[in-house]
Amino acid sequence: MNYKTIQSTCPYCGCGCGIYLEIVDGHLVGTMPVLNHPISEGSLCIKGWAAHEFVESEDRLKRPLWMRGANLEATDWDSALYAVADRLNQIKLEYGPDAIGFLSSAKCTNEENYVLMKFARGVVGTNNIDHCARLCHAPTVTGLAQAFGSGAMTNSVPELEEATCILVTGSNTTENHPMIASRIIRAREKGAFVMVIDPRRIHLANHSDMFVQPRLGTDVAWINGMMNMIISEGLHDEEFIRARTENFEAVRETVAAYTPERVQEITGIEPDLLRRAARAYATSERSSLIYTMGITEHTTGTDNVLSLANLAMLCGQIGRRGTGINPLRGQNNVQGACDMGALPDVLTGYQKVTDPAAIAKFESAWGMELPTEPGLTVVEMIDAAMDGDLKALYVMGENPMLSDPDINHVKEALSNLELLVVQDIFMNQTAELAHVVFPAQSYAEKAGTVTSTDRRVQRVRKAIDGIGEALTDWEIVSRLAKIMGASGFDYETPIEIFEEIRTLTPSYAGITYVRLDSEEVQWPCPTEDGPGTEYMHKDSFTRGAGHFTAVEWKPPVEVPDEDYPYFLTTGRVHFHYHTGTMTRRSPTLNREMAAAAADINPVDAEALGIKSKDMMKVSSRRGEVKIRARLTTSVPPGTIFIPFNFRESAANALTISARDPVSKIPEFKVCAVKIEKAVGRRVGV
Amino acid sequence: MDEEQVSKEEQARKISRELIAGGKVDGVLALLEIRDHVVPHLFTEEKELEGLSVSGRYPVAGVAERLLHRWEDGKIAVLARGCDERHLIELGKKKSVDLDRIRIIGLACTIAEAKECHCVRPYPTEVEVGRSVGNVNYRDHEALSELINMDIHERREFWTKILDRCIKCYGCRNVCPLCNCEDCRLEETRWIRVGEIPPEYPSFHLIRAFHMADKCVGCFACQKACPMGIPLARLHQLIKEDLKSEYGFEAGRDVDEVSPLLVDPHAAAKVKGGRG
Amino acid sequence: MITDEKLPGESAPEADEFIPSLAVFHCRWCQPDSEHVRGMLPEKVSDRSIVGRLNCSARMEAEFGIKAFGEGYDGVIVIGCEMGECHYRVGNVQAERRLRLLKEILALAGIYPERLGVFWASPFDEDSTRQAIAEYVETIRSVGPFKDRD
Repeated sequence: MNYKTIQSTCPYCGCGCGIYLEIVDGHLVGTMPVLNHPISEGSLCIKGWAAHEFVESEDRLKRPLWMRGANLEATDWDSALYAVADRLNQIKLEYGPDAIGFLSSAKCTNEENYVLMKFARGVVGTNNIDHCARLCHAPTVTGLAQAFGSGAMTNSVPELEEATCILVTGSNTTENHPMIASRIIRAREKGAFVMVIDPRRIHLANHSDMFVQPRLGTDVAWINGMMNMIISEGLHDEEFIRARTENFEAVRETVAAYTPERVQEITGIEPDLLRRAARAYATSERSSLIYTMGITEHTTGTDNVLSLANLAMLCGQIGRRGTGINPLRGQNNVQGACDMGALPDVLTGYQKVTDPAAIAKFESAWGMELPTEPGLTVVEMIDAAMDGDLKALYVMGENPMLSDPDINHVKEALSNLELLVVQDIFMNQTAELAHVVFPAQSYAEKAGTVTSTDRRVQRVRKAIDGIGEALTDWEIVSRLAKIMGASGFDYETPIEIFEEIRTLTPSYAGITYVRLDSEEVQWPCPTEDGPGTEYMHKDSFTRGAGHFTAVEWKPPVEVPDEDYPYFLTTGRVHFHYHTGTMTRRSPTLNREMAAAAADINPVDAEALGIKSKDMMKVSSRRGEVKIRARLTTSVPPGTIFIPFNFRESAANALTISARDPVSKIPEFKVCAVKIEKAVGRRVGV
Repeated sequence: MDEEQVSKEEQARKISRELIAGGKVDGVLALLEIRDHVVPHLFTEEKELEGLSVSGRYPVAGVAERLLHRWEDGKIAVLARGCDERHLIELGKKKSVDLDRIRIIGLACTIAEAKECHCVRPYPTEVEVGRSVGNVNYRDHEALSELINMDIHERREFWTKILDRCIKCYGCRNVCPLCNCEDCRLEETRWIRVGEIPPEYPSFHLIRAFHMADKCVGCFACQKACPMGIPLARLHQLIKEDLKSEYGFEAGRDVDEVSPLLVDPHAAAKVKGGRG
Repeated sequence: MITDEKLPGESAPEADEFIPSLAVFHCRWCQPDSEHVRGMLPEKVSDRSIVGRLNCSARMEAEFGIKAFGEGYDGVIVIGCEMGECHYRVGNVQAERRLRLLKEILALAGIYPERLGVFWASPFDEDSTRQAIAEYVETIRSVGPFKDRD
């Protein structure tokens, strides 16, 4: 009889819940919550309870695959690795290092992101490395870095309970960050005033004190409008502005034009409602801002984030417990992937590749020459592949064929590549196009660290042996590096990798595996005997003074017109996670939602002759999907919502790849579609 | 208090050691303490006993059931609090566990622990670790009276509002040792529509409440597992009190005590006439 | 799923407007024919109402009643045999206990227990059955619609 449990961190969302993996005779049989965990406190959401279900699925990739003729065939590690090494060397020689691109993974550990980043920059010699943060919180990283000098969640999850006012915008918190929604509800029980500002009437709106419903793509307008009202009533924190910030006058001038009437015209929000919201946020003792994709996934994503930063600084609601700007990161390790420099313009800890001192430090530590021009982002790499400038793409733990915008375009682009390598735990739509596929180990088969949304570094621990011949991502890349003649990849354990990271990354310097054995540590943590950081910007901002940025509202790139008369907005559902490679192989989750459904307002449905569960054809200028209808008043008339998790009704066949010029994030949240009732069978529940 | 705790730990380890060494059991199921957290663990070697916890609380009966189900023979000891023993008795009634394969090591709760769970019987039948605090009643009078004294509209409003927070995590069902049906009703689409947050009202919570009526032993695990702060235990407690007052029935008291909701067709039918 | 409709209080609407929808379950021994039972329902009852036949009132599960409310029905009626007349001797005794408990649980959840009507019928006295049903329907009508979801 062998029964044991291993403590790990849930592989799904950025909440970072502690879980115990239950192992009987070497197999995963279940999960259990961790009782005193600072985030999850003895609970889990349905995904956490099902986090073991996909791990030992029959579909797991067990052997390396390479293209022979038209098919992918199994082969051994050496053959596959040498083949990739050869091709990479060839392409590098013929076209230069920047013809090669890397997509790193927000699901892999910090150690693995670091190793891939080191390989891309040191061995291949390119800064073309990026990951899916580009598609979600890239504006957060750029916007908050510009305003404060640091692009991370400023406060912590447990502190939310101490807020006296919480403003949630563009975040369907109960469905996508349930443990954080739990704190919001608890704060409300303690008397906090909770406001939800969202174009959709999300579940959390039912548990808030005020719901405001702006039109899609009008966030800068209502935020500027709030600031206009706050300044007119003299409710702004003059002391804070004077002592801690710069450039306020530019913002004061700009928002003067956002009168209540003008704001109502743009957003549809009644002045009195907005005024109540503004007053509550400004005058409350501790006001906290929470946001996610509804703010970032726009061509004005960076502007939206800068506006929120303005608002927080205006009211002095930052740098204290229970306040702050709190972007909720999506993936279990997207924060970590960013921290590890899996981004085209920074090394670990956001040290810029254009900073000679940073480059010198890394070159000295790695013994390799490093490129100093910022590289391409995810969306730019797809474009470059299309144009023939990018010849090779190495994809670790990502699925751009479902998660990128305009996926018909993505398919064309990827098919153009001379070399596509995919390293993953399951076959997916991207791997189907690959020349070589490496089988990787899942979170339950390896050791490492991950960083959750409130900068909390935690452990994942090995619970079962690797499936088939799968190796850890860091081992695959290390072997490849060694075959290509590189030194500095002789890691035997992830601890060695982490120790190397610490020496190069001041914010992680005080974190060790020994410490992580007894606690979770929030960065910045500069010293081993010092504490981590619960909330940031206490006495001064990371950049010194907080920087106000004047922002004007711009409309979304594509809005409804005669041909395409409805707004399409996209997002997630609670029961599935992103492209569904893990959740759609989990019986518990699949049972709850086996197929996609689009949310449509009953008024629109009636006009189109559509009843609940009828099939609809939704088309945009990019493509079309068939999807069944779910009638709900949570979307306003004129707007349809489609979740992006389902390959057979891929929302991203419709979305537009227009992007924010600063952060390059695509405008997933707004485009125009037309809707027709589809001929064909009704799809069952 | 600390001294008492240390001696409880030593006592628990001593008994476990003897049972393992003597080959009487294949392992001792108890809580292991790591990093300030506790988790169920099957102790099979003496050296593991260092981490045995007597202060953590988490239902172990469900784990016991699954282990005994998985291994066709063999016997385990279970370090059981009052509620753990009641769970095992109820599982024994259902024939989900063979109580002959379980050797209960009785662990008594402290007053503080009993108060936290609003317990009325914080000790098992035979106490070997710790000292029973005797007959106490830490029933949550305030919260329960508040509910009972509401008029029906207020109660409807209370439950509708609070159940609306539910995110269908199934945590309440997952931690409950008595929720062990292979084909759980809550997972059948003909009773509960799928894919909805919050789940179908009132079906999800009331179907479970009804099923638990004659099984709930009042361990509070469901309420602790709920991420949304829904006071589930209150509803279960009031239902238990109803069965107690109507039939004198208590779950988990005696493996031979049959639930009043199961009427033996061979018993003489004592009937009431007229309309129900 | 959010609805714009307000959470219902259990207040009675205008007498003329509300037509309740029912889920009726009858034991086959006291009432063999579901169509016949449907015919016994008073006029002002919604066409949406369902009538289901059970082998015995003991077959009535709490789920049937609770799910009916989950689907927006306003009332549930169970018709079984008189005590002492159960074809399976004590099936109706078990049913009576379970249904009493179900009423208690409904009340604890703030749902009018009167929405669940239970009648022990004789196949030879249809008038009493008809009258009992009519009284239950009137009670259900007076407590108002159950509705909650969109």
